[in-house]
Amino acid sequence: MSTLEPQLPRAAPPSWWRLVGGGGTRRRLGRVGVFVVLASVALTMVTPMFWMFITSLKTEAELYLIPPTLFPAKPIWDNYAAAFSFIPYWRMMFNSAFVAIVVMVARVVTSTLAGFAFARLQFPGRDKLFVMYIAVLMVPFTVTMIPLYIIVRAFGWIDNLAALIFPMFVSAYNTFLARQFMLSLPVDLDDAARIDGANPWVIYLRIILPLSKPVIAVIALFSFMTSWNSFIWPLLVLSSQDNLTIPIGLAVIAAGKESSGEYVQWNYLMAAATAAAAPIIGLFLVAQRQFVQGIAMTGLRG
Amino acid sequence: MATRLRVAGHAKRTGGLRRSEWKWAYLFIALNLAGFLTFSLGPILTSLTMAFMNWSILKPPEFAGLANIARLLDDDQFFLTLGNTAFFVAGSVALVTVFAFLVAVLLNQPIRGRTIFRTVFFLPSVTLIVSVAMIWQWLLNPQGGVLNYLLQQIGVAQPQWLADRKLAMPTLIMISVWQNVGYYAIIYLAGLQGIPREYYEAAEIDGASSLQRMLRITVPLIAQTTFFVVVTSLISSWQVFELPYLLTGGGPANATRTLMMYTYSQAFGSFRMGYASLISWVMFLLIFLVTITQWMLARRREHTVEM
Repeated sequence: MSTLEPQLPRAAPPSWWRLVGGGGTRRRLGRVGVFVVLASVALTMVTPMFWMFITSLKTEAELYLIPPTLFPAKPIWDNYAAAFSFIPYWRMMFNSAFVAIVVMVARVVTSTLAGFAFARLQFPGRDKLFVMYIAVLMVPFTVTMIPLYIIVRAFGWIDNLAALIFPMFVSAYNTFLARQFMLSLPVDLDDAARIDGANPWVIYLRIILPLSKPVIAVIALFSFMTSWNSFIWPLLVLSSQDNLTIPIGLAVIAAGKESSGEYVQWNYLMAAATAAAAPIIGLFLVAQRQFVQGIAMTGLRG
Repeated sequence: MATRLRVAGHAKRTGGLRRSEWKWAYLFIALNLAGFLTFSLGPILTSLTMAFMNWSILKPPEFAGLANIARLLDDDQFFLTLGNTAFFVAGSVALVTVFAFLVAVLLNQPIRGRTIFRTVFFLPSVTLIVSVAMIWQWLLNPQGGVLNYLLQQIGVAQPQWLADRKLAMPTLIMISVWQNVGYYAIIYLAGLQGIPREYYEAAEIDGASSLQRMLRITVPLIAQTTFFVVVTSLISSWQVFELPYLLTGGGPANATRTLMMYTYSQAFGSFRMGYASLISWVMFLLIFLVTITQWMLARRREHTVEM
């Protein structure tokens, strides 16, 4: 839009000016302020993680240098191999992944099946049963832990991965989530299918399940994470090294540093900590949208 | 006549369908219900009866009546760990709620790089808790720890952090807030995005300052989210275990020993299963009471907003 008025020479705004969006100067300055605060919070969040990773690549001598080096002179990737040699690392990774995947699949299956029945089928005692599920939601794990230990012991699952799988294959919370989600789907879907002679199994499998992908993603993601991060229960029921999951294995190395004569260097410890945290961080970076949507969904409905 | 017959026939058919639907329904819930009863509701009810028994696991349980309660009221360690835990809960719930809210409000502004900020804030909460404990042990380490080095550079006193009796618990609170703030900020962000933009525009036209807009619009309208955030963080922080277990072992001088650690050691160290169950029920009651109070307060607040 050229105008006939003479162009007044005007100082070009600095290049970052555009970054803070449109609006008046006050508005822009406000946004710069917000940006600065957010950036400093981000720095607080990321620096400890960054320091873990950087330390994992340093040599022993470089650990205690003053001033500390921000980047290692030469990244020592061998620290990871060394860290893995303190514990049967791959075995523990496998244990963790195996348990997390089995529990995840089991929870998706059990909670969508029951969620479907609770949300979309009529049967005597339905609401009374469901109230029991809700009542359990507020009870902390501490309460269940002791009887659970006795049950698991009676089944002979002590120091066996079965102790991490069977007691966890149903989650009242996930059942609740699945039911709430399925309740929000239109009833006409089922009615139309019923008129066509479909039985509940067909309705579940062909109609409701495909529409429930968001809630399935949430259940899968969060049960995987809960299982992977779980600490107190595996600590209680597992004992031999080959059966441990990665968090417990990591705690064993960390504790070895203090008690036994073996002194594990911080670079090895940080390598182990990074390697153990990496799978979930990777999962988060890949499935970030599902994480955020899932939290929003559970947060809003909870 | 014909219509009536058809209606009757229809009713009969749906009645039959209903009954066959029952069978389907029970099949659908069978596996879930079995797991739920065996590993969730069953243990909870067992735990309640165990609170009135003496049970060392090795010998059969015997009825103890109210003996466990009498012991509890006379147990200094219980009250000590209860106090420690209450301190942790108060500190971490309050700080995490306030910070998460503020961070979410900032993230809700039209700023470049919002998604990157969100990712970065969330990173600590998807990091394995054992890794988190190790990171902070290294950062706060008296030898080679980078935090005290930085404090030294600015010329500030270098605290002993986890080795200091007074500072150990606040340090754990700080770590816990650092880890969880991003998670709760995302919950808040979802709540904030549900507030209609028109409210803010109307308030702006009326000349409300941004602080007024936050206090008069955002805070009341987000009360439900706040309730959820407080209750969720309350439930998890009453059960705090990993951070003190890994970082201080409950020390120095029991300053960071929590209720969960005490329950754990009573049950699986001293094999007092009944007594430990009682302590776990006290924890549940505390969570329950605080939640109910919160709920009633949140409801009252909502009413005043409506008026």
